[in-house]
This record gives sequence, C-alpha cells and structure tokens, in this order.
Amino acid sequence: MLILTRKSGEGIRIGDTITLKIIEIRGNQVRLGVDAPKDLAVHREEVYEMIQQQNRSAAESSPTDPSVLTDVWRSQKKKPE
Amino acid sequence: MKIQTTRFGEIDFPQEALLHFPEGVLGFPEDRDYLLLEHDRDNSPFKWLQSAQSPELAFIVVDPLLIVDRYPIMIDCDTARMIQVRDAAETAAMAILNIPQGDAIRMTANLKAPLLVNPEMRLGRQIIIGSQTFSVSEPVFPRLNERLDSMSRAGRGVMSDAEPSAATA
Repeated sequence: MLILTRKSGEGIRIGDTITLKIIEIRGNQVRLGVDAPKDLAVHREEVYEMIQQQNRSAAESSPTDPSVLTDVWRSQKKKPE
Repeated sequence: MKIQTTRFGEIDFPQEALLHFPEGVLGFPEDRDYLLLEHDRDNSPFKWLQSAQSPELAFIVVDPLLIVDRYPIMIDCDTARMIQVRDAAETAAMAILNIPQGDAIRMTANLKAPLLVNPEMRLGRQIIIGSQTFSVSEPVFPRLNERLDSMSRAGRGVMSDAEPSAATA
C-alpha cells in the first residue's frame, strides 16, 4: 500500500480524474473530500463490507431444501383470511 | 447449456437466459452468471438466483415493491453504462433475502443493496442506495402479505409489471 503524509488542505490525485482532499483533521477524525467523476460510486468502506457480509450470510441462509420456502409462504399466505 | 446445482439438480436452459453480473455480487466476485428460477409453488413471490459457476450458491430474491410501496432508485452513470440502460425505468430490482435457519418467518430483505437488472440485455449489478431510507435487513412479513392483498384488491395482478425475467427451469 502506498502511504503518504498530508496536511489539512492538501490532497492527492489518483489518475486524471480523482482527487482526495484532506478538509479537516480534528482528533482522530479526518474529513475527506472526494472529487471523482459522477459515474464512479464512492462508498464508506464499512458500508461496502457490510453489504459483502450481508450477501455471504444470505447465501448461507438459503435453505438447502427449497420446500422450506414453500412452507413459510403457505403459513403466511393463510393469515390475512 | 447445462449446469449442476445442489438444490435443483441438473438444469438445462438456453444460454441467453443467463443474467450476467460483470462484477459478480458483492462478496462473490467469481460468480458472474446466474439463472433466475421461479419458486412457483402456490404463486409464491420468491425466486432463486442460482449461480452458474457454483452449484451450491443460490440467493433467494423478491421484488422490493412487494415489501415497500415506494422504492425509488437513482442510477449512477457507471452502473447505467455497465448494465447498458439510460435510466432506472429500464431496470428491474431484486432484493436478496436472508432466511434465519429454523425461523424462516423472520426472513429479511436487503433493500439497501438491491440487484439491478437490465432484463433485455441480461446484465446486472448490485448497487448500494446511499440514503438511509432502507436497511440491509428489512422484515419481509407481514408487509409482503399486506402488499399482495392491497394489490389484488386494486385489481392488479401479483407481480404484474417490472418482471425481472422469465425464468427457465
């Protein structure tokens, strides 16, 4: 990993189109400005990781026997009647 | 073409039925082609998104509009380009379900990160909705039954529009 030291107000450029700016440093919090083309999705890392985790857990949760799904659907469908 | 699956045995289908996710689904970068299968017992709204690469990998998905009555999607240019659409109106969304073992009633849907599909071009991508409106684990019941009830009262067929694709089993 490339590691750079930056001061508040300074930035780094990634390629031609992406700029990261250190907006403010206060205690252990850093405010970052991301200037990237509108067509790039930018997400907080933990959000990204949470989705990955959620997908893995969903995949594991898929019943090995599909009839589990039929059973729960039948039991729920009857209720409103 | 034929694929092997742990749940449905061998499936034979035309290759154009595959949905291609150029990046895979988050956490599963190797699995890029999926087959959408109806779970068609008793008009169930559930579908299976079966990986063509991994026999044991299958997500259960549902139309988000069966859980919430408004599900606005803003599509970024990167996604639009990847799945070859001009705007969200040309796409269909699917929410991945998480089903607690032995307690399937408490299943939840990931409305924060839906799978967005271009049904025409058979391309898809998982997107992350930036706003805090929806979470990764929204309860499915009883909202699902209520939505289906109000839809049938309004004379609207269940799953009438924005069908992600015809399933081929």
